[in-house]
Amino acid sequence: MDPGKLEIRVRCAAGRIAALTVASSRPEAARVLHGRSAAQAVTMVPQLFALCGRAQGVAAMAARAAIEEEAFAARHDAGVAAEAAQEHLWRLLCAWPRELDLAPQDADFGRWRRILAADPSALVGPDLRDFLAQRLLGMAPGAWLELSRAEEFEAWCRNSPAPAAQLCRTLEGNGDSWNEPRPVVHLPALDATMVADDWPVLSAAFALRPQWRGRPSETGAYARRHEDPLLAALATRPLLARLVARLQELAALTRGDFALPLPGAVMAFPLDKGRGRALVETARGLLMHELTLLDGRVADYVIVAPTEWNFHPDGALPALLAGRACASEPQAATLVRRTVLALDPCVAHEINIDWQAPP
Amino acid sequence: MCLGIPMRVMECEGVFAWCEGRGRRERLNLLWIGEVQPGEWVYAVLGQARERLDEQRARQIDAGLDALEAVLAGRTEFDPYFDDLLRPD
Repeated sequence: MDPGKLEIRVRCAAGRIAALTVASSRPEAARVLHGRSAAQAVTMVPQLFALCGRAQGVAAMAARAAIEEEAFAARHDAGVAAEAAQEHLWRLLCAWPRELDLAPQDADFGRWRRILAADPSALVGPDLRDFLAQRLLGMAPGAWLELSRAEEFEAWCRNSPAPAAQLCRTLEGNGDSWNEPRPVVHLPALDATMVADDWPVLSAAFALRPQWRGRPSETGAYARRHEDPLLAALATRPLLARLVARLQELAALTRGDFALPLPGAVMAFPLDKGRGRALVETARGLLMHELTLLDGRVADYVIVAPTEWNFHPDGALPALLAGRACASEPQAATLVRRTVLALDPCVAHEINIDWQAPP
Repeated sequence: MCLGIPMRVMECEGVFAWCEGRGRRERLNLLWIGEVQPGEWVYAVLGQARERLDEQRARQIDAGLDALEAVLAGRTEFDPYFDDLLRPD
């Protein structure tokens, strides 16, 4: 079974990124559900897509329930939130430190990963907040989230010995600053009416290249929080802004402040007869499932995953990279790799750089 | 959505383990799940053992992947694959 991958090709000319293409070879896996009973589909989804199995399972159950109950439902799922927190911790404690040549906190990650997998309610317990205070942020998550002004954040970023501050200043010191970013459209917080009006029916073609009102859009922590004043102030430092958004989201999750748009938000509603849709916010962004039943069997099943939003060929990746100056091929490779990490694909990816030396 | 595969631990090497599944042999990082013993089943995604599996769940996921391969290859007679997958836990 080939799970497919993203192939990212970058052409550099005259010291700039001149062109970038993204091609995905991911299979249309939801097809395996066609013709099954609704119960079989709901059983199979979390088994097959076990990487974010909780979110996938909740989405399948919610889409089916919306058909049967014919009612709108919105709730917070503690299991999906804890699953997302594990992903955020992994990126923040292991992946970003490795990328920036800092010390990864593998043992801490392993310990918290196992605690959260066994007991999702540990997400909002005092021990995890203490851990974040002592071993990641250098201050209590609540107080850290109050660093809403750029000056306060800069002071923390410059002076704190905390690992997260080291991540931020190391990323900063590596030329993240960019004065003329092309705007990246963010998927807004969606309500059921908007979603039903704009997308009456989801299709496999849409799932491959999703768009919001005609534009490829970014989803995930940064998109969910991009109206935050600190993130707005960091807009010309796109990688830092996305790293900080993830830190903010982790901090907010541990405080149980689920009124915000956070991973774990689940919304489901019926569409036409026999068709139900669920929207689940996951670590990487919006996950949508749409189930269509005909005589009790799956007539269509469409899954729109966050990676297809964030790695749309005309989406956030080219917007963040096109035109960026790169002094050398290794510098271009580093910039592309970090931008991919900031957008966080859930499939394998391959980066090819075609470097044409400046004359 | 991100597809992983069930693999069986063959040999442990500190924070890594050599594992086999679906015709592949791979050295997996154990960061997510901690120590394992030869013979245990894990769910493998992009070089990481992401979850421990019991043998039945490993078989169910395997059956689901068989079904998916059959569908993607254009075969429609895949009911047998589902028997195992849908057996109640």
